[in-house]
Amino acid sequence: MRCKYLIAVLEPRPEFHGDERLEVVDGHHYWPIGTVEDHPKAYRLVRMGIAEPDDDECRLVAAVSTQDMKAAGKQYEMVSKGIEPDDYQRYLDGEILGYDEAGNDLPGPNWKSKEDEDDDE
Amino acid sequence: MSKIRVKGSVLSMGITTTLVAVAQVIEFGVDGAESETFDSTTIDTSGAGKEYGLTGYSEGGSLTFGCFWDPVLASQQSVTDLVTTPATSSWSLTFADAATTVSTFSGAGVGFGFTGAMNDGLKADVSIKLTGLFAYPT
Repeated sequence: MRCKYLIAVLEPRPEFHGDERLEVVDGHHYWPIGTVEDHPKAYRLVRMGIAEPDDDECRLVAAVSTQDMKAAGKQYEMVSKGIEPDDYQRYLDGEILGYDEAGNDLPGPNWKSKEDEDDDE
Repeated sequence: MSKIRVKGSVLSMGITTTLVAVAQVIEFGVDGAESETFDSTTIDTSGAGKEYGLTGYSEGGSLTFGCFWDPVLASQQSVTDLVTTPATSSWSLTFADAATTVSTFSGAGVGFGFTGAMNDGLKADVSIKLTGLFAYPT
């Protein structure tokens, strides 16, 4: 069964780095959005919101609504960026993009520090 | 030189041919890796100290991790798939350093268990027996 990626997926294994379909961003290799994968467990990626079904078999086995797929995809995005569960809402609100190497917040377009939030309360 | 935080680290496993992040991980570790030795002591070895030589092989050890267990979560179901249908597996660990260093490794066998307690969430412990070595950055 086939699925098509909705997000770019990291490929850290050097043995795959010769594949012409991979995109290189900041030295890391990614399977780009739109990559089609044919695999017996492709439905799992659909349930995780990483990919959408690319054939009827995958659509039937995945048995997930578009809405649930989008919600799962947002959740996966946060997991793959290492966002802490306590910060999920701040990420979804655009306050943070992630963390720097010291663990500090990387400000998003709607940045608000935790101290600012405390002041608001 | 820096002290790397664990916050922001990501453990990923191969669900299809690509690696995707495992959700709800609490802790992880690698242990048991060692270069293999043999006892090379002989009767005419001088002194009391036993001697060891290198076989030229190294034991990869195991990667273990703990997580909050969600039986219907696709990424975690892929872990129990390895119990019900034994297969080699592909994994990676992304560190939260400035370069977002990624180390890869392959798993041969898997150990899995979960626990439920009144005063805690449903949790699972997973161990992955490495085949080959963890790709330590050099």
